[in-house]
Amino acid sequence: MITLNHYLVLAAALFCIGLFGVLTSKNALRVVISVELILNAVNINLAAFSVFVAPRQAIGLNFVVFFMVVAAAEFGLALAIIIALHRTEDIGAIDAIRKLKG
Amino acid sequence: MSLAAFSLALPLVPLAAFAILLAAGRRVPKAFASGLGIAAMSVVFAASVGMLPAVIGGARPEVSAHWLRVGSVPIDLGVRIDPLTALMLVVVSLVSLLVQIYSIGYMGSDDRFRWYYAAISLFTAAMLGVVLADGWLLMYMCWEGMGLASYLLIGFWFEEPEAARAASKAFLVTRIGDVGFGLALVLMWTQAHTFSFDSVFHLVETGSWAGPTLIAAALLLFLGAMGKSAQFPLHVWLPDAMAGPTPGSALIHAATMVAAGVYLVGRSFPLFEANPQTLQVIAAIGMITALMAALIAVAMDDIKKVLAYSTISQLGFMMIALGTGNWVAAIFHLMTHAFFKALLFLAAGSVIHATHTQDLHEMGGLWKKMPWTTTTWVIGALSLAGIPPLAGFWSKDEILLSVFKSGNMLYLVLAVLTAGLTAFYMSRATFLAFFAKPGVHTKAGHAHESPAVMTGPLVVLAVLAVVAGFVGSPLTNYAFARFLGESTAGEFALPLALVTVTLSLAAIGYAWLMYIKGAIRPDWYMDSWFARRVLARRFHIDEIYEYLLLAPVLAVSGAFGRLDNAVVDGVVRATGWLGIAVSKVLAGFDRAGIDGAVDGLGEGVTGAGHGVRRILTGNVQIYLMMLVVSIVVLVAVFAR
Repeated sequence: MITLNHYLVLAAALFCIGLFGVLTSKNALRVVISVELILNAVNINLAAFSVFVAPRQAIGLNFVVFFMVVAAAEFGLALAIIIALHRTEDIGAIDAIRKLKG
Repeated sequence: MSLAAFSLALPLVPLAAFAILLAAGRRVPKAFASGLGIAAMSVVFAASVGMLPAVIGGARPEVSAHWLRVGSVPIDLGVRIDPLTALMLVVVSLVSLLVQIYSIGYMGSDDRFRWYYAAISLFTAAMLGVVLADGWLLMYMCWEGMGLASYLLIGFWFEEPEAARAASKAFLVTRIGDVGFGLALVLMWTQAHTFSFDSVFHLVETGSWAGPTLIAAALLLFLGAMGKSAQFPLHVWLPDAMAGPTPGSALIHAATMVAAGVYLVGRSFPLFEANPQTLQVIAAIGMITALMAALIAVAMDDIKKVLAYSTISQLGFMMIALGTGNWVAAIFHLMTHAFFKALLFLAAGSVIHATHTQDLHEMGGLWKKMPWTTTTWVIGALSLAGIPPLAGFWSKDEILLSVFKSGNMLYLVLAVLTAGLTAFYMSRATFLAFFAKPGVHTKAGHAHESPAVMTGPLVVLAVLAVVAGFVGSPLTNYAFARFLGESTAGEFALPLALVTVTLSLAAIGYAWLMYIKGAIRPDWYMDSWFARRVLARRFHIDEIYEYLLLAPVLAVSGAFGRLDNAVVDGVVRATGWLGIAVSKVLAGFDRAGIDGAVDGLGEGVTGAGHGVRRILTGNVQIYLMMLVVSIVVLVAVFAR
């Protein structure tokens, strides 16, 4: 039987992998992917709590849908910036980016 | 307010001009400076002449102000006008006016033109104050003002060490006389408790003030006069004073300021009259001065030095007149001398302006190139030589007559001899500069006549040098003496005049034979030991002062200087060394203790800053890492 705790452990593991990726990666693309992992860990939490704690209202599920859309938009934007930088400046490492300062 | 009453404030007019020029400095054009000076002097001259009828008519305007109170005795300062003052006002303002007009040409290219006019205005203000004062105290104040202006003008070209030295010398030598004047004031205060002419004269006439203190006060006043009027042995400053601009010399060191001593004695005459022995002192000093200066003038080659010694000699003549009791004759000669000596100085200035030399032997033949200067100079020289009917003849004759009537035949012979010498040295200067053939060293080649602004005043003064004597001649029934209220003073003696005129003409003729005709070797007397070693060295009086006064003073001051260095400086240095040692100990404590604490605090903060700075790398991932670690720690600590 799969309980709520299984989902929470999975989400925590996913979050830690994402966090590890964000903190250790030099490659900007990898950082963005790791951020997606963190977001999805949150989504799993929301969905699990929604199903196990209040199955009838499904408020958490609504949030998950919103989050997935926002994450997709954010990922699209980040990918565009990274590719643009890669093409014009040949920059891949995240700490080398200086041009976006306001 | 009548014109005469207004005239009491006349010194303020040039004083205002001085103040304006001093404040304006170089901001105003040169023409403004000369225009202001000349305008101020024109006002003074016009007022002085304009009030003459009133003074002749008996007007005696005066105004007096309470200055301060010493104990129960008030001290008043006041001004007043009587005939003597009125006369001096006219003479001073006229000569000053002409000199200032002349200076437009003579000083035109000078850098300190404005300052020159300021100084001349200051001088004139002081001189007007001297003649207007109604007491010795105000007179003394203005007297010192004249000394200051004289100092400023002698040292006008102070870049030249010679001029700066001459200015200091003039100031210090006249100071000896001024100290006498000051002591006379002290005596007067202790004995008479007033400085007003009329009050003191009244005390003397009634016999309330008599005896040794009166004699001492009179002689001390005369000492003041000796300093200003360059009488032996205080005459040494005047020849050196020729280092100043020539028009300034003409005004101050020939026509007006040096005559102030004569004016002082003439004004104070009742004090001297009360004790005939003081008059004898004056006569003796005057006689020595007149003869000595005339002898030196014969041996001088510098045209301004000849005129300077001539001035000293003529001032000696005025003193002789005072000493033999005829102060009117002294004032008469003062007036005529002011005109013809100012004329001679300005003419000499015109020559110097044209030839750039003052040496008589470097001139010669100037009469062809400078007709106006030559003509006016000759008139002035003849007037000084006492040739009738020029002004100098009448005034000098009156002085000689005064000597004759005093009964001192030695003085009479010496005075007539001096008059002859005067004619000789003036002829010598005239012939050498204007008529002799130019010598090999001549600088007269490019000489040219001076501009009209310079020759104009010469012509006016030449006219005065001719006619000014008539007011004291029998032709006008001695109007001069009557104007001064001494109707019996004027006299004329034909035999004496014949003797002096004959002697003067003979002297002129002798000079002509020597310098023009060449019948006698020019300057033959200069080969003699006396002329070379004594006359040309000015009787060694400067050297005597050097050895008798300066050398001992310098030796004493040198000894004191060494004493000062050894003892006083030693003590001072030891004290200083001790102070430094103590302060070094204190400084060590200061550095280790107090500075250590302060510096330590600062260094701690700085070190902490350096440590913290290493964290702030600008790397977002490091920040994020710190954020995560912090959250983990916070959760570990608080989430139980």
